[in-house]
Amino acid sequence: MSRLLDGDLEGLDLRAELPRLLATVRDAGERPLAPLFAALSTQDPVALAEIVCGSRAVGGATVVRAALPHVAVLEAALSPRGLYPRLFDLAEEAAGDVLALAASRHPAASWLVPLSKKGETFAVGLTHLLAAAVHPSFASACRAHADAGHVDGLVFAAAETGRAEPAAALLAVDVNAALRAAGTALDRDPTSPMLAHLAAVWGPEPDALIVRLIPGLRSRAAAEALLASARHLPRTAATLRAVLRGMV
Amino acid sequence: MPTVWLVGAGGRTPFVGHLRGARDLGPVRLAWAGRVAGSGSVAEGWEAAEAARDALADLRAPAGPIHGALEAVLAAACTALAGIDARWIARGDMSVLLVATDGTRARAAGSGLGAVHGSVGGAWRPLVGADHPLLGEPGAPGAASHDVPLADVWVGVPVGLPFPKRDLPLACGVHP
Repeated sequence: MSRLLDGDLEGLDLRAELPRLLATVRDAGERPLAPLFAALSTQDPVALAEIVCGSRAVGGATVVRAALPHVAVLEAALSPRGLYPRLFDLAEEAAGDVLALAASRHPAASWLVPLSKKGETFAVGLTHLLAAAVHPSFASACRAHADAGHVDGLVFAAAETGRAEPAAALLAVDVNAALRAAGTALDRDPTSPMLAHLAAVWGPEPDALIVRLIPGLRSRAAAEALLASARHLPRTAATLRAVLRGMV
Repeated sequence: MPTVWLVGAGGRTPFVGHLRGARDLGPVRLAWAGRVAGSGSVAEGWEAAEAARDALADLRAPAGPIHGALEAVLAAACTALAGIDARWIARGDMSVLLVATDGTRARAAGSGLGAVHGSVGGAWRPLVGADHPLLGEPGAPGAASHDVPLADVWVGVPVGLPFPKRDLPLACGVHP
């Protein structure tokens, strides 16, 4: 057993020895699995996939965490859509690690939306959205999470990234949440092209909408930036001028 | 007060590059709805629409006689739109409907329209026939204008889009 855990697979018929390998992993206790998994990832990725996420997979946080460095190898054996939900189900307290890795490697994947719902109890979708924020799929990810009702995740994503897309996506499902997201995003990044994104969803006269987000602004820089881009929004501009007089 | 709407595209960002507004210019009420760089990104559409808003905000009331004022205002508006940054004109994707009224008659100019409908006495109906010169390909509008029936609301339908069978105001980005 020690030899296997040390990654010494020489002379073994790995497929035939699969039950022994499974037992070795199951009984490893505190001993590290990294050497064995590293050896399997180069010598027999399919055997590694069987152990980590196959029908007889051992499961548990230790096993899944040890497998995550080899996820590229596992993806060659199993499609990401099948791999990550399976790993997630086996991961126990490492489920968050699986979700984060899946989001970072596949930010455009639609299956991350239901996986987020399974894996996050607070601000559902936030992990995926933060990963997708550096990817061209960010807007579509925001829309998918909006459609799934992941309002808090989108509001937090807006606050974290300063991007306009979460607010724009929320506009189709929850106007008040969209305004909260817009305000927090502008506070984070006053240069965020908020008007452009909201108008693209709302329509060509967004003045009555935009004026409603002003009470949620906390920073003077955000109010000044919004005023600078509101030259054709008379109510918004007038309200911002009044608000700015009272802002530090 | 007469207003002009433009039907939005489908999808999650139906109003990229849309603008809408109205101004009183002396005896003439000019109302418009349009879409500039609607085939571009959200940011491009906004920038282009802002340029068009700027151009229309600079219009002045006609100095000449009241006779011909509708035509003069429309010609000035079309010239203003054609004068926005060349990169927006060069895209060739502008759709716009401009209507000038003086309370007794209405004239319209535009581009990129496949149909023009109107609300007359509370009922929606096409205001121009399929071969009307107001209808045509996208791009900067020419200065020519055409008589159209008086209406409470004129709705331009960009080439390639259907006239919505329901929820027309929302399809035009009009909210209660």
